[in-house]
Amino acid sequence: MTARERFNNLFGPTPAPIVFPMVAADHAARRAGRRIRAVVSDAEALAAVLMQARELYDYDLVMVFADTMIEAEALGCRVCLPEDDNAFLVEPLGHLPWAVADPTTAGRMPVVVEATRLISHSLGSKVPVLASLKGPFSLACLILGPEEFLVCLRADPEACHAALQFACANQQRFAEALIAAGGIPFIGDPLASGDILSRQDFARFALPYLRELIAQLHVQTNLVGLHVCGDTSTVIGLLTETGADFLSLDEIELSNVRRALGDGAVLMGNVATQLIVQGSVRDVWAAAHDVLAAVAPRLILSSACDIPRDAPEENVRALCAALRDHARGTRGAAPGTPARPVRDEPP
Amino acid sequence: MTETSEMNLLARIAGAVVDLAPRRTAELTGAALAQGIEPRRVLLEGLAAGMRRVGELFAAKEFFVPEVLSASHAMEAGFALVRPMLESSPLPSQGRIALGVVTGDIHDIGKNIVKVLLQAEGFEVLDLGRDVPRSEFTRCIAEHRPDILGLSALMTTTMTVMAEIIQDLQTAGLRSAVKVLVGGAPLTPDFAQLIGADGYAPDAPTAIREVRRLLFQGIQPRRRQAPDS
Repeated sequence: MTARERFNNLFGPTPAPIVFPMVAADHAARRAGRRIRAVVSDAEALAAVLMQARELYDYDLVMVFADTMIEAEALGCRVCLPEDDNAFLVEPLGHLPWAVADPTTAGRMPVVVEATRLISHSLGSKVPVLASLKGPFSLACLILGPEEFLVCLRADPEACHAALQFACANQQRFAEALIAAGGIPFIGDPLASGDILSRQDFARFALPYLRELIAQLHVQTNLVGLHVCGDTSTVIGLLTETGADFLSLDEIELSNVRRALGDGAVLMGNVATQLIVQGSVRDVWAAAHDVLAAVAPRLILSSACDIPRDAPEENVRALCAALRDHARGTRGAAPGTPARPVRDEPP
Repeated sequence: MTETSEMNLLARIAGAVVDLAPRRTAELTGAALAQGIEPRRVLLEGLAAGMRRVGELFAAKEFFVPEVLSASHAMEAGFALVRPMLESSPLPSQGRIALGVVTGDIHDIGKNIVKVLLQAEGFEVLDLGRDVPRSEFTRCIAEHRPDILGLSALMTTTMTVMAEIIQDLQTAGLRSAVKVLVGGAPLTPDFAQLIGADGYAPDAPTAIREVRRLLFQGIQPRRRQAPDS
């Protein structure tokens, strides 16, 4: 059975968990010995390192994710692209006039679209290709500047809604290009986090635009994923109202989410990212088994957020190994259990 | 003006900050000053009292980041009127805190929230800004002798700079002159301990508690190794 078939099965009557540590361009570039700027500025290089990383770790998906600034840069925000570090916002776009970015020409959007096409062409029949894009709330934050936008939620909510509506339209067009290139839209909305917004503000400023965007994308594609950073415990019920087909969640107890959303929900997550960076192989392996035990079978076993560029290779391997153990019917020790059978030793 | 009416006015200023209302905060502050209420009372019992309440609501998760940022704008609207009148008689400080986002990192919302909450608590804050060069931290400690240096980073790629800054302080013989508090989303207590920080705060309310702990409770630093070699 191919990874694509296993992925599709997550949504059918005979699901079994699959694995994808959220490897993006920076970690993939580091593993390939490439500089980040060179990779995120060139479609062939981006596609190559992402496919090499999948081969290295042997996971079940590929995610085309260059960095968080793709759309903001394409819209005209000033973005710094360090030689070997992640891009960051230098100067937001500010208020009107805005114009929806053309994915074939604007900034590095064509790089991402073409990398999606290249990977889909090469692997797509066997491996699902997620194509990352920002959620409207996070993009609107970047357009106006995060602090100004968050203050505006109180001082001038209509200005925020205007920016959100624009961001939604922009992302619809970008997503259409990604879908046409063979990608499965995977929306990341890091700034709509429960660490930043109240439930009321999420419902007012993030949810309507996610719902609108996802509904539009469902006209063209069956599956849309959504990732929200931080603590989402207060907005779990609202996340299901977005219409997303699978939810990737960061700092939250997934077993509680499973109880709240039921066995039919496809969840993605959520071995703590810091554990993957700083923990031991055994720590990661055991944490992955805990997630599997609590949330499988409709699970994409993953990291809580993107794998940092310098995360140890052996820890990422341990996460993938846990899924293979699980598939063989072996499992890690329950929390607090001191010893494991020899055959369950981590890699 | 009677003491009661003065206190009512100060309470209304605090309420305007909690209501996230910059114009009303400025109007009430102007009225209080025009009626002869001491500027330092307007600041401490009005503006800062409101911001302290905002800090409490933030810690209780009744307020979130938009509310804290909006409240700080309201406080600033009032403080702009009070500031010129305080220049000749600065307020007594609870302690001097230098804050900065480390080199390579421009994410400063967390640092800005910590700053306004510290100011509301009566601390003097030296705001070094964001993407601060390593040498600037050492220079600040040598020149201004803050009690605490607060370092912020939001990226896993920049948090390692914190260790280099602490090493710089050791090299300059300044490590024992200042306590170092680190914070930011990617950090963990283990990381803070590993790099030899004295305190760790995962969020702004904890940062305020950590500042108090480090300054007033005499709790030993969390360092594993001696501070100065």
